[in-house]
Amino acid sequence: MNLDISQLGIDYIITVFRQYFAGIDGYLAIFILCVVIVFGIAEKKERELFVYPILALAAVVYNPLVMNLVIIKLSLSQRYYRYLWLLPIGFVIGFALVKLIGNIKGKLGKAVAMAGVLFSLFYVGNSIFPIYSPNENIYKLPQDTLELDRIITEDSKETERVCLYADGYSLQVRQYDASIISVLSRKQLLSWNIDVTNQEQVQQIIEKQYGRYILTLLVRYGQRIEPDIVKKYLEKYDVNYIIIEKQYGLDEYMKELSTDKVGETNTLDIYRVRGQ
Amino acid sequence: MLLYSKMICFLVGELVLFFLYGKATAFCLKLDKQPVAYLILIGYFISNLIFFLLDIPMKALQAPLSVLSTVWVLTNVVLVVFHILFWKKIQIFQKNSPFPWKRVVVTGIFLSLIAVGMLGFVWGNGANGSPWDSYYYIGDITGSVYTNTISCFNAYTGEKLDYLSVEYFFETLENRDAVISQIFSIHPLITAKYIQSGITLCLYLCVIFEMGSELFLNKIEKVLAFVGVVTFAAVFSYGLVTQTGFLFFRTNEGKTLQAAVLIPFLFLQFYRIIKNTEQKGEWLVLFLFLCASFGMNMSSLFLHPVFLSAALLSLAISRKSVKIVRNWAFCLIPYLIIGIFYMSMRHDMFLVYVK
Repeated sequence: MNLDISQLGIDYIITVFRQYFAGIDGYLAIFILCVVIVFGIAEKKERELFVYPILALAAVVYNPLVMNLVIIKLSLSQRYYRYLWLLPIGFVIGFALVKLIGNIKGKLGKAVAMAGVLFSLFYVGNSIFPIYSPNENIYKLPQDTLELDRIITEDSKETERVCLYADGYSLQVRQYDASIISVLSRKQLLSWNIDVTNQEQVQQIIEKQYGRYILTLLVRYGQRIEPDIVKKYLEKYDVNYIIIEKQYGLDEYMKELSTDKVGETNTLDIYRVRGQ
Repeated sequence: MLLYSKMICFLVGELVLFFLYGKATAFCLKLDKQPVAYLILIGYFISNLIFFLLDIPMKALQAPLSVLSTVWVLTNVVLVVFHILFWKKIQIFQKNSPFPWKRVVVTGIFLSLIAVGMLGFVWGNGANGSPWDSYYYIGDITGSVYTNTISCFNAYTGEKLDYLSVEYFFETLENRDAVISQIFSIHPLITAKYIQSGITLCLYLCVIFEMGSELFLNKIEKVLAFVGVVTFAAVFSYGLVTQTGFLFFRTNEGKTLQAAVLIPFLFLQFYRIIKNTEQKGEWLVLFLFLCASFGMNMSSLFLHPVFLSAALLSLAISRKSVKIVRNWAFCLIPYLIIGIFYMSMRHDMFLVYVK
C-alpha cells in the first residue's frame, strides 16, 4: 500500500483501513457485530481469545494518536497494512455464526440459517473468481516470456547472456532462466520515471553520462539517442541482447546500433549486439 | 494432470515429513495425545526452525547451496532413523480418534474436497497479485540453484551482490525452496508455485480445522461448519492485500504464510494456552514457533510482538497472573536478539560481504 503518512497525518490509519476493506467493508461490519456477539454469548476463555486482544489492538495499534509516531520512527508506512492481518476476521465470524446457528432448534432451521449466513457473506463480499486467469503453461509465465528465452538460448553460444530489457514480460525471464543477466536494476526498471516529452531533462541525463539511465531511455521509453553514445554503454556493460517492445518501431534505428534482429514474440523484438 | 498428480504425491510426502517432525517434537516436549493436524503444523514450524539454524551460518559463510542441500537430506534421514529407533515409545503419544470411523471418513472427505478445490484454483491460476515481488522471491530461488550459492546474487539482475541482502538475510523460506529444487531437480518455478503453494494451503486448512476443534471441543458437525464458513468467507473477501488476496494469488510467498498460517496459528496456540495456562509444553511450543517464524517471513519481527503483547498482557490482566507476564517477556527474547542483528545490519554496523 503506497500511502504517505507525512501527508495523511492523523487520517493515515483510517485511510489504510478504507483501502484494505475496499469492496469488502460489509465484512468489517459483520466482524464487529460478531465480536459483540462473542462478548455477549461466549464463555470467558473465548472472550479472552477474541475480544480482549482485539480491544487492546484497537486501543494501541489501530489508534493513530499512539501509532503514527511508531510508524514514522520505524519506517513502517509501506507495511502498516499487515497489522490488519492481526484481526481474526474469519475465526470470529465463523465462531460467532456457528455458535448462533448451534442454538437454533431443528435441522431444517439450522440449514436455513446456514444458507442465510453463506448468502450474506457472498452478498457483502468480493469474490476471487473474476480475477482468476488460467495458466498459459506449467510455469505460470506468459508464453511470450518462454518464447523470448527460447530465442535467446537457441541463438547464443555463451552460457550467460547479458540482456538489456525493460518490460515486465522479459523481466520474468530470470525466474525461468537465471543464466540471463539484466543490465538494468529494479530501480531503473520500476521506480525511475521520467517525462520524455521534457527533452531538457533527457539531455541532462545524456550529458551527465548516466550509462544505465541512458540505456533505460532507449528500452523503457523508446528514445532514439545518438547511436555512438548508446554503443559506448552497450560495450561498457557487455550487452549481448537488446529486447525492446514492438510498439516503439525502432527497427531502423537498431541497425544503426550495430545489432541484428534474431527473433520476435507477439510484443517484443529481440536483437543481438554485433561483436559481443 | 500428470504434473498435478506428481505434485500431490510430493505434497503428501512433505506432510508426512512434517508429521514426523511434529511427533518427535511432541514426544520431546511430553505433549501427549495431539491431533494429526496440530502435529503437522508444529512439525512444519520445527522443520523450519532447524532449517533456519542450518541455513543462517551457511549463508553467512557463503557455503555452496549443495552443502546446505546435503546437510538437509542428512537431517531428514536422522529424523526418520529417530522414528524407527523410538517407534514404540513415540506410538504412546498417538491419539486415538474420539469419533466413530464413519465420522472420520466424512471429515476426511469434507476437508479433502476443500483442499482439492483450493489447490485446483491456485495451481490452475496464472494471475499474480504482485509480479514485482514475485521477480524477487522466485528470482532468488532460481538464481541460487543456478549459481549453487545461497542468495549471493541479485534476484532482479543476476549480478553478484556486494553484501547479502539485509532485508532478507534471516528469511530462509526461499533458500528452503532452492534446496528442494536442487535435491529433486525440480524447476524453481514449479517448487514455488506448486509445492510451496500446496504446503501453505494445506497448513491453512490444518490451522482452521484445529481452531474449530479447539473452539467446539470436537463436536464434529460444528467443527466442519466452522471450517466451511471460514473458507467460504476467505473466498469472498478478496482485496489486494487482504489475507485472501495473498492466499489465492501470491500463495508461495512468505507474506502469505504470515497472513494465512502464522498469525492464525498464534491465535490457535494462544487459545491452547488460555485453556492450559499451567502446561509448560504449550508455552514451549509457542516459544519454538516464535523462534521459527523469522525464517518463514521477516514481518514476524514487527507483527508477532504486537500480537503477543495484546493477547498475553490482556490475559494476564484478566487472570491477574504475574506468571503470564513473565512468560510474555520470555517469548520476546528471540525478537530482541533478531531485532538487534536486523537493526545493526540496517545501519551498516554488521554486513556480510560477498566474496
